[in-house]
Amino acid sequence: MKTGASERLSGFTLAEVAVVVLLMALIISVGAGVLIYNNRFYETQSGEIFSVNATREAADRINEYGRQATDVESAYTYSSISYLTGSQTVIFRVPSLDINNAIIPSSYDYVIIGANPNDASRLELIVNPAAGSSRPARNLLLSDKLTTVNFVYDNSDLALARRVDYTIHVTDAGRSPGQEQISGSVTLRNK
Amino acid sequence: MKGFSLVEIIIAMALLLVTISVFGVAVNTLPLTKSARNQNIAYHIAEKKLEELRNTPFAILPPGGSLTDPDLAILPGGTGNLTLQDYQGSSEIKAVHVTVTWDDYSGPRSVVLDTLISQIGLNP
Repeated sequence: MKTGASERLSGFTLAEVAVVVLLMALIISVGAGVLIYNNRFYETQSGEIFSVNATREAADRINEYGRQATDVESAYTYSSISYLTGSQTVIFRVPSLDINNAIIPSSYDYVIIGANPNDASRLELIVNPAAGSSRPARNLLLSDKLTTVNFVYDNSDLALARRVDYTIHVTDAGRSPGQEQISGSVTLRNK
Repeated sequence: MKGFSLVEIIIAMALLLVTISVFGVAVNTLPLTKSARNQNIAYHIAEKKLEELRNTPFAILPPGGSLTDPDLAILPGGTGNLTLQDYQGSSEIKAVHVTVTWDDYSGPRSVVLDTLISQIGLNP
């Protein structure tokens, strides 16, 4: 049986409820702040890591394939997309290799590095080996946050170009975005 | 009236500490990421310089000195240095050292690339 007044006294007073609500508001706002800050921090960090990876991979592949290349090819069609060598994209013509890594005469693999012609924010690396070539095929999206890419050739006649200078700038994500810019130069040693 | 027990306070403080330290661990990766980024830039500056030297005729290789590269401006306190010396006393082979130095959070760091350039090698 209820004993009336003494039982009702065991509830919360208004002051207690107010203090609890205030404390909860404080804890939630601090917690939310930490969460939001942490999330932004994570985005910036991962953006920076992705940018560094993409620029490094692109620069190193340009150096790798450029050194093996015999020519800069002016145009090449891969999976029904037509790529043109220019300031946004470079196409290397590289001698095919057999299983013993010996050059197959007059057989060539094609390497495309640069912006996708239909979407300038996509930095791509495509290796399309000829039939019988042991060079592994590649079709990689290095970054979808490409800011600028610029290729400069030492000769306006691409058939005579021997050196390619490049700048790659990737900016990734967020309010304080991670970014990376790399520039370099490659000489076609097999020209 | 009954307040909080010691155990309750200790548990509350431990939880608070764990939360803060988890956040601190994430913040610790910041200098590492920055350092990796700067190292990537420095390495490619040095590599670009080596490629340039490979395209320089052996007879007119520069004597050495400090590097100029627009990308050095991206690095905090970025400087570069180049030295060329006769390799083991031979005037036909040069030992080349390219050093790119920048200020890291823990002090100066550098990337060094070494190569030998010979008169009958790749150079024109």
